[in-house]
Amino acid sequence: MICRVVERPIDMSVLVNDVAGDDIGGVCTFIGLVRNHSRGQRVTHLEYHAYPEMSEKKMRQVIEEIAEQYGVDRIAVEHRIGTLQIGEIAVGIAASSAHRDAAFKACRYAIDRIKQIVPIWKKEFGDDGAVWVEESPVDAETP
Amino acid sequence: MRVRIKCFAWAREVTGEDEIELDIPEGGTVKELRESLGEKFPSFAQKMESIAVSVNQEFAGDSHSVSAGDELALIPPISGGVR
Repeated sequence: MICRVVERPIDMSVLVNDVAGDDIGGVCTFIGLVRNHSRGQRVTHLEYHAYPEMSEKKMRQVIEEIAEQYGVDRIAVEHRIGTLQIGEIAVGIAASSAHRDAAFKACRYAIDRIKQIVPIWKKEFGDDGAVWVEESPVDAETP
Repeated sequence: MRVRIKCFAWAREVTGEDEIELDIPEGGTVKELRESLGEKFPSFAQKMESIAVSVNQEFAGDSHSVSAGDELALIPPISGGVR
């Protein structure tokens, strides 16, 4: 299964194909895009920075948690880093299972958990300069 | 003992380095690492609560012990996002 930080555009069809199979009844995907506004301000582009080795390790942890909680073991994840323009894909997830309910749940859990524990940072560039987005201080005791 | 610590995102902008070196007591903990960090870079001291520390690519609490060969990093709040 694909689980990696990349420095090139994300192709969702690659992720979908990675989790497809004859025993699969549904694939659920999440696509995180670069939005042109944030907190009421215009955004011109983003820079994503990562601690790459730890990011891939924590993404694997998320995939393991999903296997335990939802019994879904076919998940593909790519997170892009570097400079991204408006409308580009920052993160792509595909989760599949024999029946759709588990695939939806797995996909939802994956994106929420990735944003909680994977050390990737986003710098927004706008009319007033650049700012690091800080939504989730990590509680070292829980992850 | 001297330890090396990776810096990311705004922590890198504060230090101006991808990696810094700090001196902490032999057999020290993450708490002592934080104290040493705050002394060397006062601008971290105000934001220390929001910085996580990782040891060998796992988040580590203040009581976690640190060895000279550990891979250490400062982890500022990650991007998260509105659900």
